Amino acid sequence: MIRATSTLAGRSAQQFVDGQWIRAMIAALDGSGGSADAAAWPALQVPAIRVYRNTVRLAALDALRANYRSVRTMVGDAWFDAVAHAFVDVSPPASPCLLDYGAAFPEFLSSLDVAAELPYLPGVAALDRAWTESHIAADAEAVPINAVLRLSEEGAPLQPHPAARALWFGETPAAALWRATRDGESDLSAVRWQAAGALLTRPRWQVHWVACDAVTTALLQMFIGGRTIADALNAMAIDAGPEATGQSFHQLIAQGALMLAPAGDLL
Amino acid sequence: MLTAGVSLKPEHYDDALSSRAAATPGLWFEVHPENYMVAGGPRLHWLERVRREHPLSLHGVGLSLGGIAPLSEMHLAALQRLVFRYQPALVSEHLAWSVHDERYFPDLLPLVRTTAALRRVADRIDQMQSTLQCRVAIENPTHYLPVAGHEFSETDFLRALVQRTGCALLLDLNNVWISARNLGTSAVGYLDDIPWSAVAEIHLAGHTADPTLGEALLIDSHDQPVSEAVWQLYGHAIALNGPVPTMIERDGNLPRFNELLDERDRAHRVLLNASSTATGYLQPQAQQAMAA
Repeated sequence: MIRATSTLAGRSAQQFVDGQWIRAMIAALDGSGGSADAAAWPALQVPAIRVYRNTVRLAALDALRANYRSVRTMVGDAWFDAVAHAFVDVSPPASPCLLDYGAAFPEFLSSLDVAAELPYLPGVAALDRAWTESHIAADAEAVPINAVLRLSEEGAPLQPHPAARALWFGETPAAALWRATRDGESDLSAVRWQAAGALLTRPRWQVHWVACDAVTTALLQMFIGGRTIADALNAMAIDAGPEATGQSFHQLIAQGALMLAPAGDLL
Repeated sequence: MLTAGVSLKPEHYDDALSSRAAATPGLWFEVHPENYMVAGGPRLHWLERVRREHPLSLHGVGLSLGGIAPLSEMHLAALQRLVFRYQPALVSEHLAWSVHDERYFPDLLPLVRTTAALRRVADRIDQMQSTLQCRVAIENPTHYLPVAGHEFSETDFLRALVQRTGCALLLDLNNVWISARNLGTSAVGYLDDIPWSAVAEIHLAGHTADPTLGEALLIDSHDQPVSEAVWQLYGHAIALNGPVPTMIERDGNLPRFNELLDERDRAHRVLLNASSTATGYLQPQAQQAMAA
């Protein structure tokens, strides 16, 4: 039978109990089972608490493994898991949408001493993250190549497609290594140590990637805010020259990296 | 008409649209909405295609109905968008908590079943149902710890939630079995006490024994076929109470789709046999329950 409703004082005490239980359980999950919070609850002292602890930890770890596939391929499971555990300790999941977990992982890798030995690794992680962002980005129609002339004449404003990402790495072969792992290359020693970039887009429901140069990366940025074609190309040509700018613009259009800017997004 | 369904993972998207799936009467799919709370992209597109062919269930794991922090408005809004877009036949969540102090604990953690907790969880279910504009089913969690301080049995707590909010129940028989074994209580006794008229869905799943403690501690791993013990419990429950839409839940060690469908077909047969002896079943029971 259900008990009668408690008094106001009783309610307050019960709410305190509920909060105390949750704080104690969190302490036990974090490995502080002997803390004052957790010690008040005998249930948290039994060995079975590790079932919850393992589930919470492994779910975060599995999400990182899935979201940083190329990093994991390059460094191996043991190395990846050791670093991932350290990351989970400092940046546990904040949201139930684990598909999006680990945005700070590339920066975390940069902060590690080991980054000096593997200087390309944060870049590879940044591209893994770019893949995830591209995968879950909003849907939109990319500008088709046969509409460029008309849009240019009309002075129509363009902006990057929500799923387009371009990253340039001037000092490491991060982009080439990332592309090689995603393309299933087993021998990464063949990848040359040279600057390179990667352009990610999402035509037909699949994330697609190609090599790109620094001009393409910079040109895509030019369109943030809704510049017209002529405006962006003229500005870029001053730095990179008209030929390189034209080639990069063609690549962005051919890969579906640009879309018409909504009227409200104009500069 | 919903009979038996399976959980749907990305590895089985193509299979879900296959001719075998299309030729399987009563088949439906269940997904975790948290895996689809995205702005766009292939996941939503895949789900759209599956939804065109089969009924869908959205089974939430991250709303933290049993917590004390306010429900995330952003999470509720994302869930609402999915419910409005995909018009699921079933929507469910857990009697558990998983969010506190802007931190998400990816598990279904137990609460102390106090009078204050009952009031709070009921308020949160009200908020969920009014936002989603549908009846939701609340699932019994797995238990590993002998938590002190409960004022209600779990079945009494669930019954009170049904009375206060009009919610439905999702009865996970694997959780019932594991919890009874781990805490030394009676699984059959639990089934005797559950308010069956509110049960809109049943979950069946596999479990594993703890590597150290063995059978003394069963873990709700969802990485094995449904155990014979749980199948027996299921047969007992359906024979006594009549058919209820049933889902084979599998999250890890994923088998081929056809193997999963074979397991699902076993549940389907149990439901058909029960319906032949009961009157009035093989109506879209869950859809009626959800439409309340």
